[in-house]
Amino acid sequence: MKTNSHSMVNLIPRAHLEQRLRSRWMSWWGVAIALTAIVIGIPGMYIGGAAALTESGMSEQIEKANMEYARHQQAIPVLQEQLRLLAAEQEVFELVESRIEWRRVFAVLIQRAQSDIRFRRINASGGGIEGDLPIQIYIEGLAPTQTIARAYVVGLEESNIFDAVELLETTREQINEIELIRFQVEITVLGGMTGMEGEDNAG
Amino acid sequence: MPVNGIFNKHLLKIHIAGGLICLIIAGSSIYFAGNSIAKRRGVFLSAHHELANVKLQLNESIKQRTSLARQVRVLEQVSATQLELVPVRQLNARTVEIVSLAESLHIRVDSLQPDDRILDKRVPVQPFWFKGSCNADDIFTFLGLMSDQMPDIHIHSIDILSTSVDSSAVQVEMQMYWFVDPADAES
Repeated sequence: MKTNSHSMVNLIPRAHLEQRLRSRWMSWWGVAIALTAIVIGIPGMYIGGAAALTESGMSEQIEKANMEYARHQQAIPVLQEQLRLLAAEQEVFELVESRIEWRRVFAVLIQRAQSDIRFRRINASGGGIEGDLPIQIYIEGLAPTQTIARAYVVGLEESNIFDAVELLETTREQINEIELIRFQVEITVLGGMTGMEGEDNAG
Repeated sequence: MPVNGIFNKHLLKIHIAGGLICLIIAGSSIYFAGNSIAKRRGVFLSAHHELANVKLQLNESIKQRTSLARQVRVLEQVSATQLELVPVRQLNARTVEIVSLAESLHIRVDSLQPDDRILDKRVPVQPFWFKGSCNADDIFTFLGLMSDQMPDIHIHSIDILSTSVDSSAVQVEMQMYWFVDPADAES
């Protein structure tokens, strides 16, 4: 039996073939490296660079908000001071309104005395700046008789505008050859105007 | 060593080098991008947090300011209907007003002396001491007119002393409290 086989003989030297194969692989890897650089490397650099450099606009917003905040904060102490002064003014108005009205007090003292009583001294003090302390009124007067002097004290009590009326003392005195009754009365008004809400309207 | 083995070794080196270079490029790129994004995200989150805080403070501040402004407006409206308080620097003008009123009622004013200003109470007060003499009726008229024309001056104490049984002449001593404008009192 004859074999019809042709043995292939590669005439290219083996070293050259190996060199060619190496070159082919190196070229392939060169392309792969280039592709990797283009597909992954450059976009990665771009994304990273963009992320690092891009301004989100947040700092501008923060700065703006901070400026606005500072503006409001500056206005607040001014308003607080204004408010403090206005509140102080209101306190003054309240105190002014709640003061005892001396015109009314003296009108009652005189009206109740009619023409029989003569005053030697009227001394009134108290109340304090804030009008919350008791007011003391001291009266020293002269009356023709004990009855008139005591009736005057009762009249003051009945006016209902005083919290307490106390007859301190009565003595007999000779004045210009006439005998008169000298009397002293102490009146208390508690809490300024609050104690002045009586029925007597002697304006 | 067979020739084939050496050849394969050379090829393996090429593959390793190529693969490593690709990996380094890809890895570096991904690391750089990821790192930058992470940093950026950190900065963004921090800024976002800061912005939120500033906005919160701003809102509080606006609320406080609005509330204060409203209170000021209300009090200004209330004050507009009240009497006008006089600043303490008009002390001399005020004493002139008091003396003029007294003298117009024939009260002989001996002295009208301002005392030390009181600043430690709820409201500032300028005290005066008034001394004079007149007819008893005139002093009561004076008290009424003071109350009408100068309601911010309060008679704190009064001492009326009759000088004669036969006449209505009296000596009067008063301590007046002038409620000054608080805006000006501390100056």
